[in-house]
Amino acid sequence: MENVELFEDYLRRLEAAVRPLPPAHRQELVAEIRDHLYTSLAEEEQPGPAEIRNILERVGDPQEIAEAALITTHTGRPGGEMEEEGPDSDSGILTLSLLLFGGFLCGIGWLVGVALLWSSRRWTVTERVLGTALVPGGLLTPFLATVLPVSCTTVIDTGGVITEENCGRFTYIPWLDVVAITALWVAPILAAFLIFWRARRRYGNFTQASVS
Amino acid sequence: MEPGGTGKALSQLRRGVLEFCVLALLRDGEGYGVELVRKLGAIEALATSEGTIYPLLSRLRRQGLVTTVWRESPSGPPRRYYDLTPAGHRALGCFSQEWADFRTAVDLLMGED
Repeated sequence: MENVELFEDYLRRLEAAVRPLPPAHRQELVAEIRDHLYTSLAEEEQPGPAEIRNILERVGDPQEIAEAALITTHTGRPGGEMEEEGPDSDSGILTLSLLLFGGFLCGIGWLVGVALLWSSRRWTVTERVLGTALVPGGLLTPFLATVLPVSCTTVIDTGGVITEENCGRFTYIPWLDVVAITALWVAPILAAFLIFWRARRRYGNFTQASVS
Repeated sequence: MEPGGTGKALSQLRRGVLEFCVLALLRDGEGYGVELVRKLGAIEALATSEGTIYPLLSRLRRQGLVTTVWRESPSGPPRRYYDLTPAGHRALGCFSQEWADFRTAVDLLMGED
């Protein structure tokens, strides 16, 4: 029957348009619109092709509905899905700065950074774990590792002469030690950038939708 | 300011105000969902289609500003009715006041030329 076909076709297009939405919202919205379509038709005195087209026209373009839903989902007030401002907001920058440099503030700064990271809704779990694990203490850790006195093992022969000396911070294998220190410096910086760009991309899509 | 700038500003204005228009329609009692969206969709100045109001209703429900209930209908399938919660009434009241001040101020400025 032509009636059902037009509605179902519309609903298929709607389902495609709302794919970016969280699954629960997606299903709810499509169900509500489906309900609206069939209920509206049932209430028409003379349900027919003309009424069907009128109903569909009044409901509107699936793409517009999807955009409205996306914006609504993302700009809910406290209790909503996502923090409004992304990583390049003041508090986003503060969080990342504390993670990197907060350790130098008696170590407490880094802890504050971690607290901010986990309490704000702008970061995903992956980003939170990244920020916490790479590297605990932020840049303070490689800094300490660099300035702390090196420990050495020495080999002294029977004549009291030092024949061999190996020094290192973590291991006595020189090249491994260099790699370890370098990694310790690079990891926090890399993590901060990764977190920033991931979050930026996520908010980039959002801000595009919101200014249309 | 180019026309494009006006368009964006207006659509943001509309978006901000729409939810309070929804709440206002429910001020005097519960409303039938389909009729609610039809009324709002028919107001040209709001420039919104019926479908775009449903996500808004869902969000208002999630925020606890409206509740819904299904009722049997003689003329067809069960109907969904929306009603304001006390929080919804409060939000509407707050906005009403703010809007009056805002509207007065803007009208005053607009009237200056």
